[in-house]
Amino acid sequence: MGTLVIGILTRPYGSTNWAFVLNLAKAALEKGHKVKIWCSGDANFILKKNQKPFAKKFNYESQIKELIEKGLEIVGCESCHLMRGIHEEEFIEGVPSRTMTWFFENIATADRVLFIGEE
Amino acid sequence: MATKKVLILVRSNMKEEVPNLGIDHAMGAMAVFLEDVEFQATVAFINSGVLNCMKGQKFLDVYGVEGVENVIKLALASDVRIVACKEDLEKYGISEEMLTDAKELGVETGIEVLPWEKINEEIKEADYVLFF
Repeated sequence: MGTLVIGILTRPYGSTNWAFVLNLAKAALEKGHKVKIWCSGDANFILKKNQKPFAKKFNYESQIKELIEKGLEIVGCESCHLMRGIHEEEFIEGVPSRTMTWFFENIATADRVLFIGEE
Repeated sequence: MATKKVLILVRSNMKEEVPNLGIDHAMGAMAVFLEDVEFQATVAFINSGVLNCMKGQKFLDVYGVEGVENVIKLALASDVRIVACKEDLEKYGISEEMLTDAKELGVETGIEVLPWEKINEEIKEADYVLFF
């Protein structure tokens, strides 16, 4: 089984990029692969806990929690989230803050790397 | 020690945070010390991203914050290779003399101007392509 590392810049809810990333992560995890996600820039907003679910709307917090239980490793970029006034204790449970070193250490050993930039 | 090529494509212009993030990732790659891998980072500015390469940006005067030009200078000083797409520079009427450099930091290597065909070849050769 392989390791997939995904880097993403996109803000949540502003596009379907996150829906794609989380669906891809779910499919990979269910096939037994490891999945690691690096949140850079506005992507860090997705890590805030207490996202209110609305009927028939995306709710990424619940999806992320479900995927963490399946083994997803998802981290926030320290400088990016602090710049945005988001602190690690506000993150969804199980999500740590990391520096860019984490990203490069992990892509060095990954089998596949996918990076999704801003639209 | 294996060298892995990281190619960072920057399409956004300097009005956004994204070019800075791209260059930050390039400098981050160059600063990471791993046991058996080192990264060689190139930032390629394409589309309206080539506007980031212009010298004389007045970000500090207008907005009171560091602009992308300063970050490009720091990247050049950190051995990050900076490339700008020739066709896109031409599209915006930007000549090579209008591109920034880091000579005041003692760095002679400036921004390389490459045709899209060459950049495309580098995309194919890179170990990692990161889109910003």
